[in-house]
Amino acid sequence: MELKDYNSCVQEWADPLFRFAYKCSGNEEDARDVVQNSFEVLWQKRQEVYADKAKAFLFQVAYRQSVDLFRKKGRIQYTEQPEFSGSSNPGNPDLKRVLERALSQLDEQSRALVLLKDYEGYHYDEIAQITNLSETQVKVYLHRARKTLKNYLVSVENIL
Amino acid sequence: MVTLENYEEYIISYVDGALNAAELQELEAFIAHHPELRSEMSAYENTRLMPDTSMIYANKEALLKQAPKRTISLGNWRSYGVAAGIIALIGTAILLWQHTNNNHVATIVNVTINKNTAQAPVGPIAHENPIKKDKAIQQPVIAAVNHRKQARPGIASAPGINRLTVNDHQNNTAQPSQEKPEVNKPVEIARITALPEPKTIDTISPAKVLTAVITPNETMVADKQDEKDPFAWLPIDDTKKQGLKDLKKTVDKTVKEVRSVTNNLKETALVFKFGKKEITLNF
Repeated sequence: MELKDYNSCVQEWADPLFRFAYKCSGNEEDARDVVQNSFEVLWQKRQEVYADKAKAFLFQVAYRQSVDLFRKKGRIQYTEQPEFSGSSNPGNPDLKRVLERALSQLDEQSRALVLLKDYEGYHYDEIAQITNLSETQVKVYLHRARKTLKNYLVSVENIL
Repeated sequence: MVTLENYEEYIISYVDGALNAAELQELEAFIAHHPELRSEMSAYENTRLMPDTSMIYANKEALLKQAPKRTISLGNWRSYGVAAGIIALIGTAILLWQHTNNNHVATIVNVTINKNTAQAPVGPIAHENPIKKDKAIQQPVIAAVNHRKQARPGIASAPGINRLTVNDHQNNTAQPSQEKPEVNKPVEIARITALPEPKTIDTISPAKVLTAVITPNETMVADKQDEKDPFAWLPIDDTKKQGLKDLKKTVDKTVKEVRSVTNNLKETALVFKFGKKEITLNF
């Protein structure tokens, strides 16, 4: 890929990569480091990476780094976001926040798979390439993660 | 086929967007027959994460790369320079060769001055230039001037010749009684003028071979100009003056020729191609 392809990647994929890394690692500073490192690796390997494969390459690097970071630092610690004030329905917490918590129930790998699936819309085979897993593994892990998330949502709804 | 055993897999695949149209239709039909499963399906649909687009990577510009400034390594240019220099040299040499080849070439083997001319008169040479004879200047000198075709390489290239003679033919044709006897006569001088005692010859520009491009008529004109004697004021022997005149004559011709070559070069552009690169030299 050329310089302009690289810069296009920065403009297009820095934000999605940051969101992915942030959700994976649960830490903004770590996520920024992951993004920066991913683009640096892409720049160094730009001769070997085709422009149309650059996104997958970035997520591959970011996935590995995020998982490694998480494993190094231990369990994820999401920063509690302030409650919505003046919510029209305070008894029904925001689904998004519940999902954030549900996501923290998953292991780092499953979380990354769900993020790649939902955030980026990758297919099973693409996720398999990025995570270096088999397609079957991806499918099994993803289905397992969905069940966990669904059960968490249902349990929260039941409590509330 | 969707069953009560595998419907969950179908629902999850649906949430993952992994069902084809037929499978999706099958699932919808199955749920329609089992409305109690609709809430479960809805719960699975809620597990689909939506990216928070407000979350952006700040200072994206820091990740951008600039095009590196184009630098050309000195090593390459050095070799280009050497190549261009060599080709320019060869080109100049060819130009010069072609130019000189179309003209008469006079080779001055030696410009000599005989210190002892006064004591050793040289008759034949005096005959050769009657104008100077009138002034009673004895001719010591001499330049062996030849048409190129008549040049004898052995003589022209012999650096140390100091014995000079004049052709018999010239001696016969150049009579003192004639007015301007040399004007229409081609210069075919001679190889060599004779001096009685080689040891008495002092060579001013020893063994120096000068190549100049001159024509016979030009030589004659130059001879006439010599009458003004630009070196008259010099406190040296007449013989030395004559030597200086001849030297001056030759240098003038050479300068003239160099100027003409330079003028030719000014109108010439040399183009060298190195692969795809093209270098044009304008003079």
